[in-house]
Amino acid sequence: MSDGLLTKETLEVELLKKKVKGLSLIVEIIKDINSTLDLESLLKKIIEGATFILNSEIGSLMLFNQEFNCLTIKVAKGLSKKVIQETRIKVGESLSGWVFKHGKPLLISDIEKDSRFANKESSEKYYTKSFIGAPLIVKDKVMGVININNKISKDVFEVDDLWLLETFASEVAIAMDNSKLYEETKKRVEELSNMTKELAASKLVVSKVNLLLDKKLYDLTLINKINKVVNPASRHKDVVIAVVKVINEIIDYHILSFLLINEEEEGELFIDSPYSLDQGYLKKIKTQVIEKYNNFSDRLEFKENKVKEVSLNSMLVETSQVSNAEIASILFLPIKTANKVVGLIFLGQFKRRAFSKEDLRLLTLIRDHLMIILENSLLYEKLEKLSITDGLTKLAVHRHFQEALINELKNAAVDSHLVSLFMIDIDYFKEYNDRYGHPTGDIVLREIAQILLETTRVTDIVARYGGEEFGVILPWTNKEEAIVLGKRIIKKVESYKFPKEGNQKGKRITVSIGLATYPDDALTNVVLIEEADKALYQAKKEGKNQICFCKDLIIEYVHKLPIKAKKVVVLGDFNNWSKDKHFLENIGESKWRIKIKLFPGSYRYKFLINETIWLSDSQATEYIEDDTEEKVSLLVVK
Amino acid sequence: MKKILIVEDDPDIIDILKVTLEDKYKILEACNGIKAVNMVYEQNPDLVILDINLPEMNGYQVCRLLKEDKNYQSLPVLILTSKSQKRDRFWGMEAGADKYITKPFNPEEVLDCIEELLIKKGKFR
Repeated sequence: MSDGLLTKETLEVELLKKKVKGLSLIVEIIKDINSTLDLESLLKKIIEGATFILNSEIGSLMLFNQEFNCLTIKVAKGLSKKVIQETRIKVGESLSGWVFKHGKPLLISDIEKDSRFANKESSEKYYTKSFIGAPLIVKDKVMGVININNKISKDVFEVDDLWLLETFASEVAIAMDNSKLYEETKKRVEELSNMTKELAASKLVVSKVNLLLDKKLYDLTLINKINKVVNPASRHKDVVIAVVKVINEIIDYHILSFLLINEEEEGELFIDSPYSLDQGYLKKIKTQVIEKYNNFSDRLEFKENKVKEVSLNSMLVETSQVSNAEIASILFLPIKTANKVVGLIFLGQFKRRAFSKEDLRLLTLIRDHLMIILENSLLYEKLEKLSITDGLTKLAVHRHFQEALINELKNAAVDSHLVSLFMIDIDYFKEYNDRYGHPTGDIVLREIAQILLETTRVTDIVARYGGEEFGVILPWTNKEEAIVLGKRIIKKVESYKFPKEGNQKGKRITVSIGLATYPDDALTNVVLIEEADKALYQAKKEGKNQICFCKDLIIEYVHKLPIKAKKVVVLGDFNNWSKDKHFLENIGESKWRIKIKLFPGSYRYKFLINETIWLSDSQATEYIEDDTEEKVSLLVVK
Repeated sequence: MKKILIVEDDPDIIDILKVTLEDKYKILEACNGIKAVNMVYEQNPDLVILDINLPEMNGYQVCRLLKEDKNYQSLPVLILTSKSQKRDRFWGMEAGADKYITKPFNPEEVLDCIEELLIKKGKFR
């Protein structure tokens, strides 16, 4: 094609064709670019595309770097790595700096001829002859610059090239922005999803921990509930009641039964039920519980008749009596202390499958705790019993006797009732002991203790006071009643066959009893014992095997004295010296118009009304025998 | 108008309660334990009706949290649950609930309970 044929039209057509070609190229490249979201490969594609469109070998994409406050090359073609890494261009300086600052494309066909940039930048001068640059603008903000240097054909860049690059840059900027957004979003999403994963994981753990803590809290609350009402000094019955109360709050049952067996192989069966149970039914439960217990225990088969029933009725709400309902579900656990099965918890329901695993777990928990406190309380009870019980006779010891007496007198003072006291001594015990030895003597002690326990009432307190001396406190008992009781004891001992007794000639084992009564004879425990002791001494002195008592009945008897009596012998002790003296002196004056002289004796007093002598009965007997005159009245106060 | 917070994840139950209570009270709703606690903090209801089986945080925990908080100790909590076993009731009352009603329930009974609790609360103020 000759130059002459290049008409103006054909030139324009050529130009247009070129533009269209360039644009369609751009479209193709942009399509590709838009489908790329990864920033790194996107930038590479941009610079490839730009150099391709503009038919150039050297091109670079520079972005503003906040850190260095200048433009750095992000990606380039035809430049050495060193240049890429080291190039830093300040805003406004050099070619790309100018483009960045002004936000406008720049075309320099020959850099040597441009007054603005010629000889200014050696590195650029080295590569650059013709330059074309376009800003990357996103949302009115310049982000970076695309630079293209030198065409392969060594032609200079033209305005059309500038236009193409500008178009390209504006499209690319959007893609870059998208990609940047995408990258950021991707990063965020990743962060978020990681956080979500962590959160979900920790939530799972937390909820698991929460459930576990809830369970522990539940368990602790239960145990705490028991502990609130139970302390180490609690009686085992109180412990059982506290535990039953807690079980009642968490488990549904129709029958709750607690079997406890003590060291003497005696059992207690606590039974609780919302229904009132008749005797036959109770017996049925008893049989069932003991059977279960025997399965656990390696001790000898336990017999029903050794079990005492204790009804708790902690939740008696139904008034109907149950006599034949079948227990369809049972839940039971053995109670062990010190590796010994000492009991059984037994729960029964009339419904089938009424108990769950959780019920079992909770009951086990309570049972385990119960075993600890029960062991404590049983130990405490044992110690307490030991400290108040005499090992040989199983009676209360001296100290407990004193405490009990003080206590009883206190109660008596409040209610103003009578308390009688026996001091009991075994007659000829020393001789018996010497003859048959102490072990046999011990048997006698034990058997007499048994007789005392059997003869007295439950409310009476029987104690071993000393070696062969016993004390019995009889609350709510006057002298007459006490005498009846004392005589019964004497009779029982008298007729009891003690070991080897037949061998002892004539001398059976008997007892002497001294009696004193509060408040007639004394007001304090010490004096009351003293008075009873005196009476005992008297009983011994007067032939043993009898009951004597403290005499405050003198007043009554003196009134009955015959007036003509000249000599009167009064037997007996007088408690209250000054009171009795005062009384006798008064009555002597008013009734008989005589002077009474009183002589205190060793343990009794002699009274002289003129010639009347008040003597002890043995003395009186002698006296009467000696003096046969009828002037003597014998007043025996017993 | 007093505000009642219903904490429940079963829409049917919420509907029944709403029908029963709407005339007399302003109803607030929460479908899980955490939302319930936040709702109490933000809206300060006069009474809470609390289910036990809730997502996130169960009713016992919500109740315990509120009752341990000085500011909300006097806020009456009525537990309304299908958990009818003795040990659940025990735990509900231990958590500090003022009333424990098991499903299925009689709406009238719930209404009576609410009135009773609100009167009691008013007295202690």
